[in-house]
Amino acid sequence: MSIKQSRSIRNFCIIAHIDHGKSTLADRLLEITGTISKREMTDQVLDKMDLERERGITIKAQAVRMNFVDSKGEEHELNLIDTPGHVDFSYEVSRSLAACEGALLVVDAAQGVEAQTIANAYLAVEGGLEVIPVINKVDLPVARPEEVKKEVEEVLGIDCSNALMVSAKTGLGVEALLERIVTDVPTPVGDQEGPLRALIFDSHYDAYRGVIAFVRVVDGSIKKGMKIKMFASGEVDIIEEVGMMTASTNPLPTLSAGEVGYVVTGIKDVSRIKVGDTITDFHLPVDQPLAGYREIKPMVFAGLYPLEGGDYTDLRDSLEKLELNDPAFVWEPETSMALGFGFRCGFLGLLHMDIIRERLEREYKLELLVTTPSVAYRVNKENGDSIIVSNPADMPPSGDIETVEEPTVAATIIVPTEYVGAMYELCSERRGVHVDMRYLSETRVELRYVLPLAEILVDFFDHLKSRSRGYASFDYEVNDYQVADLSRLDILLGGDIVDALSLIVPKATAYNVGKNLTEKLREIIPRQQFEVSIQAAIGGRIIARESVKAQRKDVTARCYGGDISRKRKLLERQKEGKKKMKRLGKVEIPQEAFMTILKVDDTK
Amino acid sequence: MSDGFGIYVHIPFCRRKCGYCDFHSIPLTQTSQDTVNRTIDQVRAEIAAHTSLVEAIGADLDQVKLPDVTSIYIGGGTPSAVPAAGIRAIISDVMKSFQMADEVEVTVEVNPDTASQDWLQTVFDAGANRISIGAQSMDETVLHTLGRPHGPGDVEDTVKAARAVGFAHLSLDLIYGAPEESLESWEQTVEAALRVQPEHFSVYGLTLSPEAPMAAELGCRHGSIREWEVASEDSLAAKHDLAVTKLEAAGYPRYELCSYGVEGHRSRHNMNYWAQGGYLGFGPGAHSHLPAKVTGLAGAMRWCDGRSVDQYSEGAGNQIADMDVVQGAAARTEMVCLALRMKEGLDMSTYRARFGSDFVDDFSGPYAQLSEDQLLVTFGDRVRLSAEGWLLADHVMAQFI
Repeated sequence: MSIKQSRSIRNFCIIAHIDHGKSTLADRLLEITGTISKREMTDQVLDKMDLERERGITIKAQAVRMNFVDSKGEEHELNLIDTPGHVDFSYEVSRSLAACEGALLVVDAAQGVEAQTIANAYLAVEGGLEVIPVINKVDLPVARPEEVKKEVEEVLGIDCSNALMVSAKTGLGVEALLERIVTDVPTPVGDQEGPLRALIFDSHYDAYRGVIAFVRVVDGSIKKGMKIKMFASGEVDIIEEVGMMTASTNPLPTLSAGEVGYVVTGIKDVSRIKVGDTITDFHLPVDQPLAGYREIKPMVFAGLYPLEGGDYTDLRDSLEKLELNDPAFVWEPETSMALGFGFRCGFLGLLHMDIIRERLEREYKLELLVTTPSVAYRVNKENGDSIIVSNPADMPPSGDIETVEEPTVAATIIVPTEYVGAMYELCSERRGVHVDMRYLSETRVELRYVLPLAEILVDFFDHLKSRSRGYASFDYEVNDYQVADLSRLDILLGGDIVDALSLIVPKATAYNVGKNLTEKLREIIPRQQFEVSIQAAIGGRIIARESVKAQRKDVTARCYGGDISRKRKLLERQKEGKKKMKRLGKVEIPQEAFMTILKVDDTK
Repeated sequence: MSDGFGIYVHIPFCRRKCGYCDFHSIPLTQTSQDTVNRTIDQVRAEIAAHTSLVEAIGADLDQVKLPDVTSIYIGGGTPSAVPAAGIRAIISDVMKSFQMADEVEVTVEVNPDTASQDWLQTVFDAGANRISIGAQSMDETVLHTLGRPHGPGDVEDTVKAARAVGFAHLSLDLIYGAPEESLESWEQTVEAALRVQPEHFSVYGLTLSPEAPMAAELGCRHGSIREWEVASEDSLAAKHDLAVTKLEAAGYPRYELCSYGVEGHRSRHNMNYWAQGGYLGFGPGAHSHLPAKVTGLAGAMRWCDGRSVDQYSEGAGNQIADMDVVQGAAARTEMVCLALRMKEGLDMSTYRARFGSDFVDDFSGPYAQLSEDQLLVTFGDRVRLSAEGWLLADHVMAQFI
């Protein structure tokens, strides 16, 4: 039996390509509904962490309740569910969308439809959401709203005759947008009296309260003191508090079907509260969970090593803490011949990896060495075994290998027609397989490719942007594993293999990669007290060699007027600089060596 | 530790600012004669009131035993850019305010374009007995690159004038490694400098701090100052080697990282720095050092005078800024790093006598590594830089920090 909530509720989210104005629009909605006064506003309220604010991206979804009185004088409860805007977090996006009945599709009036717009719009349409097209930044002189409307209609098949013309920055059209949310977004439907089913669409860790889960109650209700069970994890717990967010947390007696809010359980470990899981009543369990739950799987792997061996324990403690508020982050101890004791870590993508590294350095004050990121290869051995290799150093000898499979992605690139050639070239350099191409308008094209994930790990996006003068946009989703002809390339410094520098490369380009890599390393490895030989090898055969000459001069003799302290400080700084390097045997190499090796051009 | 005691006076004015200079000085074009005069007056007032300075670092005056002054050094800036009468007054004040040793080395720095024979005569009469000439190069083009206002002829003229006045101890400063300087140009500079027959040379590789006026342009051209340095490393090493070979062959043995002198003409003032001797500095930004045994305090004190010329000339002298107490491990490191600058290196028995422990135990790691790398050599009780070590002195010293 479906019973409507007595109050008028709308649950919606905003989806947009990066920089199309999602956060600004959210701020304006909060301000106009009086949820947060202008004085309380720091820009982009929803982006909570400093890091997010600096990077201009939203990492963690959150939900905020706004009260809105429409032009007829009727009161409504609008729940804005924020969604992360980066491809690394597409599963989280899909769960946030599942908590909503409607989505504002924000498109920049100058930029038009971009790759993320398409990906997110499809997710919303597939999820059965009412999509309201919003053309933003119409106040810009370069705005071309009519063309963009046409684009949205043609590309996405979404009717734009009623699209809203908005400037989130000035507030133009935002009142009308609120009215539209009330008229167009359906009110939630659910069984008020039925057994509890609530969707966890996000969670975060609070140092005082433990894990806070953000939920959409689908059926029944959830209240303080209730004993609950999570469907997928099997976790059983007592609810300590329920409530909703406005400017801050507001405890409520219950959350019932159709409502969005937060739940505190006292669980301290985020990994035990899984995004997408269904919360049920322990005493009244349901047969079927809500659809769409998936285990999060890391896609990108890298070793994290403390620069100072003594920081190993601190690093482990920090990883344990980080894991508490980031269920997508996984790690396990690892030992490298070259780097000593460290950890193999798995991330959703490179952005996710960067965020983790920055948090470890910033919040936990650790100096880290991050090894070259790798994907997880599936290695089918001659003896019939199949193993997953996420560290190139663990790749078995080629004689033992039957086939190697690598993960791929299905990529969408949207680009003005004049850059199609450049995109073909880029994708073919990256071993891409062309799937499809279609014209979005007379001037813009959508390209679809299957690309090895390993090929887009490091500088693909940079190349995409530079070769299209910044016009290309890119999005991808995880695709199948595919067999590829790959081999392990080893790097030897001073005659010894540095396991942390090994990488997996296509056999066809191995020679060029080895040659370019040794040249690149010669440039970035500073001169040492002795000559350093740099070699690249495949299966024990040396394919390229270079050397760094011994250092000849390192003295700034000046020490004037008895200023001994200044000299000492200079030497201290020199010593600090050295610390940032990692000593591999006798050779000191800078951190950047590990990233450089993936940026080596194999076409030359 | 040295029993010497030095007085340093900083004259923070120059005729103009050189492109590579990040020292504390103001071009005369950007200040007034009045400021110059007031600064000199203030230096003199500081010298007269030096006991209050010693008190200000926390020393008990009853415990303080300042040794007799063995050297006076008037540096800058360019002392020869200010009237000779001012320098004369300062030297005379120092001699009146402190107990002088029997033989005192009194050095005045000059620039070749500003030191007239009259000027030199005045400071000679005041008691100066050593002149340090900022020649830097004997190549017109290189001097221009460095932004020096003089030509090679001015260096020769200054040497002649100083000899005529009666100076028996002259030192030339030379800089190698200016942008666009060739090895041949540097060789000619060294040869031309040898022809004027000073008693002493100070030879530096050009180092540019980011604040130096030349740095911005050079950094742009090469990506960064660091990249420029890396690109010129081999040529700097060659120029260094050339200078050592030529100067030593001409009878100027190297006795310190950048100092070369004929027998009996080492710079006593600078030697006192490397031996961790005491010295008091007067003038804006001047550095001072008083060893514990002079002050009776727990550690050696290092500090500098307030840096702003404007504040200084307004009477805010004898300010203590950036004070460091050097004791424990820092004192050991300092002794090692300073001693390694000298040809004689570190005397391990002196080290043992002072700290009650052995150098090779206190620094076993770096000592073993640097010896293995053949950058340090040990002869009996002495440890010193090897021939390769001289060129990698910063690397060597950083290992002891």
